[in-house]
Amino acid sequence: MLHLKDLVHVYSNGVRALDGVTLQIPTGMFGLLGPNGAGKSSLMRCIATLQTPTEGSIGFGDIDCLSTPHKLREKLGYLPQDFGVYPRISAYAMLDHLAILKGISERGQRKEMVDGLLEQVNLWSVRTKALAGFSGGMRQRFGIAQALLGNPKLIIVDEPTAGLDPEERNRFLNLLAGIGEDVVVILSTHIVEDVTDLCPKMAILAGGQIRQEGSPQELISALRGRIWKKTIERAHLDAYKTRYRLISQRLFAGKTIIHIASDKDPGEGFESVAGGLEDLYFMTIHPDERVA
Amino acid sequence: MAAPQVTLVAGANVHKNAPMAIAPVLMTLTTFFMFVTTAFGANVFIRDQETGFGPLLYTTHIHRSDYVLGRTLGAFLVCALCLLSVPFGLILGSFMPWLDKETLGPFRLFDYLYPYLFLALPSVLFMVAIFSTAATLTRSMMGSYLTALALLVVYFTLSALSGKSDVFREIYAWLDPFGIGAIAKVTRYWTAEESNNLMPPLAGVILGNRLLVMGLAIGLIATNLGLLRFEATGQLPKTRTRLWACVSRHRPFQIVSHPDGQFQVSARTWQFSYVGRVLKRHRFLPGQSILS
Repeated sequence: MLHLKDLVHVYSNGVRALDGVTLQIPTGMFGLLGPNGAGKSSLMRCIATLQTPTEGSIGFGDIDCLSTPHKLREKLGYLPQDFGVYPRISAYAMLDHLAILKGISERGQRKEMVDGLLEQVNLWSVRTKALAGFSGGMRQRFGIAQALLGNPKLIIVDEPTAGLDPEERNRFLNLLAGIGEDVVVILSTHIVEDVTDLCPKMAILAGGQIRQEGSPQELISALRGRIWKKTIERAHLDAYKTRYRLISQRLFAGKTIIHIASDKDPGEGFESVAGGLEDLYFMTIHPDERVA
Repeated sequence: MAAPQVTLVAGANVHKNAPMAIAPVLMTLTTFFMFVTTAFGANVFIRDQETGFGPLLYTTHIHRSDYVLGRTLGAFLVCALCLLSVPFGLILGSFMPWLDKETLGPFRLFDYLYPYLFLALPSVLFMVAIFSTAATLTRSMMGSYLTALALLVVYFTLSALSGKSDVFREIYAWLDPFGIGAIAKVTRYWTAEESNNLMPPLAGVILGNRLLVMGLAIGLIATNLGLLRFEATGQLPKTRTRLWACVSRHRPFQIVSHPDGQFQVSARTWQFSYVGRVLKRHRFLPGQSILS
């Protein structure tokens, strides 16, 4: 169980990335949703002991992560948003080296673990190729392989599927779903589908603060009967913006489809739709800004 | 580059492979070797940040002390291996067929190993230490190269001053990081007989200088160990506030960041601190500051 209490982080240039974040994260997949610049990566780095937050406390089980970060590192697996590698080292050699650094010093056990992980992430065929020549998807797969080394109890995955093609993305999500039950997995992303597909618990982070927290089902059920949809002409968009609370607009086959939030039936050709996580997400990050 | 009292080629009657012919060559080339040690010594601490591999590495179980000492030792061993090319080249050169056999003495391996091990390696350790620390402090290769330039300037100044008087020569002998001054002082009036058979003794000024240089090297490595952190910190309160916090004899307090970017200290001390005066100017209520 991971406890975050009143985390504040201010960068040296004065940017206040985290502004009083308090969360309790249980075992299982936890989705952290938020737009770019919300502070997700800052939060992930703080938990992964790569940054010391300006204020607040982080506890994992009975480990105080700020005063004894090395104790947390013994149980940690971290996949950063972007990482680099040494130029001319093969994937196998690098994974082997990282396995040693993660404390698997016995050679037989290490070989078994490294081989197993490379098979699991489907990199066995390219294990002797230089890491620097890997494509984006292969690099992410290597990243998750190193994050899974040493059977960690806390896995932090930062925007893993951004930039992956659909097949890679599915493969990656299947891999994450296969991680054991007693592990805390934090999936930080701006892709709403990832959270919908995988996470029984989630939170929405925007502007450095937690805006929503809970299970996706519960949060979406609060929207039941309040989301309405209509296909409109693009020219009328501004009129609708002033009269209703517009959640999202998207294009479909050249027509503009808008979603609005309204407690009662607005009439005018709006049809009720079941709210999705995306509607909740947009509503949360853009609170009602309608001009009266 | 030659100080007035040390020449690269030994005197007229000295054998070409005499100890006193080997030592000056080795020591002078060690001086040029400085730029090689810059590359290795700085690279070991810069490469994780430059390649982007840092986040993967710093979240393993590796301890800071293992990291610093291991990397420094690795850089030192590589530099020592590279410097081994000088004695090797000298040995090879002494067996070349075009040399006049009259000018050569008997081949003694120890003549080559002694100056390498006891005279040159301490310099290499010192150089690796200083450039590693510069790399950690400045976080860039350019910082190390600038340090190398600064060291060169200091060295040339010392070296030029040493010719002026006996006092300066003494100071130079003690302080010269490359050991040339000490060796030159001790062997200044050696006869050809002595030069052919004796090595610069590890006693007196030479021993003192080498020990001083090794002591400096160890001190620099300790500094590097103290300075290097895996965790980045964000904005810190102004130095004055932090110092005041350290020396304050009031009961324990908390430094809290404020949304406006100011920092507050405990109520008992706020009126004395710089921050307290700023807060007063902006009319923050005293009750807002926090005591633990």
